[in-house]
Amino acid sequence: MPAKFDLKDSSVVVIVGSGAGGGALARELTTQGVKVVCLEAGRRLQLGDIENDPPKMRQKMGWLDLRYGEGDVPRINPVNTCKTVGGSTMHWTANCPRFRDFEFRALSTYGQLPDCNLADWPLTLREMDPYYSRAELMLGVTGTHGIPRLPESNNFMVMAAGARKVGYKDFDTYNMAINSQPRDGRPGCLQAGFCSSGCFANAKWTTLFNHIPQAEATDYFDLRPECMATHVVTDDKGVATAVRYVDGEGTVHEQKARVVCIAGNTVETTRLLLNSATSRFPGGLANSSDQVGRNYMRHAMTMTAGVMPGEVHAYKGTQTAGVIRDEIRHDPSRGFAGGYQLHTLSFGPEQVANILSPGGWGKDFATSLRRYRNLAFMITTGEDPPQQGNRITLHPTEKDRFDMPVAVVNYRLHPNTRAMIRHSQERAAAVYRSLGATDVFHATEFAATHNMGTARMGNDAATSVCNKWGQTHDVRNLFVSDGSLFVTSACANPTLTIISLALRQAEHLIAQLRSGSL
Amino acid sequence: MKTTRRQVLLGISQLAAAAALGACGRSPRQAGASHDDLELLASVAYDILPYPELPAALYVQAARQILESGGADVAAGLENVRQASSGTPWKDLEETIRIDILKSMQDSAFFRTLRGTTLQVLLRDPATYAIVGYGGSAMEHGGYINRGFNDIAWLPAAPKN
Repeated sequence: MPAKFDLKDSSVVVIVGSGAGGGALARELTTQGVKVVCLEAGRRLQLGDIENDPPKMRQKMGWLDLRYGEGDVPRINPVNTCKTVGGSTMHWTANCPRFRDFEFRALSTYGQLPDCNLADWPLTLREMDPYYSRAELMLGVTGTHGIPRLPESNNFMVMAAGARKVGYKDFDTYNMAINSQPRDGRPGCLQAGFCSSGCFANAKWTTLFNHIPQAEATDYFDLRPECMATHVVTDDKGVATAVRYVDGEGTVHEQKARVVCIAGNTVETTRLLLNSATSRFPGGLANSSDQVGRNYMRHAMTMTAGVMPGEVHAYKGTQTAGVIRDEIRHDPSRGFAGGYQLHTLSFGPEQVANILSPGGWGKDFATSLRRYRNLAFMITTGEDPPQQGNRITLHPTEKDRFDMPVAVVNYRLHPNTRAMIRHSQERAAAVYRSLGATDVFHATEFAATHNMGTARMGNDAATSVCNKWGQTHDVRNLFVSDGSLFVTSACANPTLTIISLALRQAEHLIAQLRSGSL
Repeated sequence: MKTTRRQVLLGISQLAAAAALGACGRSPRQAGASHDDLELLASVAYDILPYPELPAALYVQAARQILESGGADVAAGLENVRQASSGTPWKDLEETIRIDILKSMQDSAFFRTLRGTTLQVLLRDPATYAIVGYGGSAMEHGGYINRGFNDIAWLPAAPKN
């Protein structure tokens, strides 16, 4: 049953965040008898709170606090993350690709790109393989370990027919953490769509309805929703001793800790580290390398919509209904380094109106929306190289209601990313035109959901924030447990890798706790 | 019978008048202003997203929401529209003139509110779903698994392996 630990209990591991990284780590630790206090900024939803209503669900579970953007991102709220128990596993469309081998070795494979900070990961696909396997089994990823794939939807069948016509070979309904049949106490998918607004059927894997209750079934898990961590407290020896947080009533508490793990999704993880500066750590916690907040990566992302000669009704079925993998390779003859995937996505008419024709109005606009029924959609997710100047910082003057400086996300598209986007738009357009699409549109202005790189791993403490276990070089009992760890972005959706890294980190952490070195 | 713009605007006018009657408890000035503003805004909203099939009430609802959001932008925007149309009622203006007036203000904060709210109200309403071909919320119907998620019939047949 759920535990309740004392604020002065300094034997607990404090995890900040209950999403993919924090939730997976909490389950691993608690099921092996380690006491965990999990601080989650958001509230806890029940299955009955989920509706097929994206704007409403954004109010219920989105991160709505102000963030600023600079560069090639929206000025206000440049990232789209969640504030709720379960974190972004509530919002994700549940795509579960693994990284490819070459993507762990970006620097060796591509060579350094101009103005970039490419590096190889301090671990390989071979080392990650057992953790990927465990994660896939935990999540019930379709198309892996004999788990049947999801059926083909209209939107997928359009993409697949076009893919076949233009000569692509590697496409299917993808590897998804959505049940194709009942599994693990959860039902099969009802093809309702709205995956990114939470799955009312509970066919989609989330930490809220899987890892969190599994952790609560032990006697070692104390989940505290609506508790916003504001500082990691360190002593004069440079050891983390507690986490300060503000609860739902606005009261400030300090939870003592033996170990602190931060999994707040890149923007919040960065903000917490930078906000925990002391005279010993003047540039922010674990930031002697000056890399905290730098190397911020999204993905090369662009949406392509084809006006097809017949009706598609792309909104029917899982939002991600399938993938084309043929462009996931390093082939400099295409004019850029790294690869990209093409996968379907779907949007409601209001989103389509705003994405495809920002500011549009009038008769022609109204007429074009009548073709919504004929639209097929896919999206590019491509590797985005790390740049030192792409950086999350604290606003110099503006603070939020927790008295924390507001985050500023500075991001500029690298020429490599621009070239990749152009290439993928041409290929995606060719797929739809091969079937007689009368019109093809592209859109690139998105708030990012994939946020990575601001506490990168590496073997050298001078150039990275964390070691290959996600343990910070500067503070030995402080860990980072989310996408901030990524050295490079690959072109894979990050969640499966975040979870696999968390499983790997948990093993290391438990071994260190048992040996007494932590 | 095919519905026309004129019929939608007539509906808007009647609804706005009814709203004014319903508001007679308030001060005459307030009620009068809200009646005229409501009718004008709803008529302009029609030109933002003109669907003659839609009930006039949806455009009035959009107008009401814009008025309720009630910033200085809205009051100033309405004043600009009235000045630009030199007192001619919106429903009697030529289409080209209406479009020119709206174009001249399309970068203003007022226009962004006008467009944003109109799209929000109209595109979230089931009456519009039928026009654009959208199914909306699926949870109360058991998803689309038995309602056509894989019923596409016009694609070239996939080769058999």
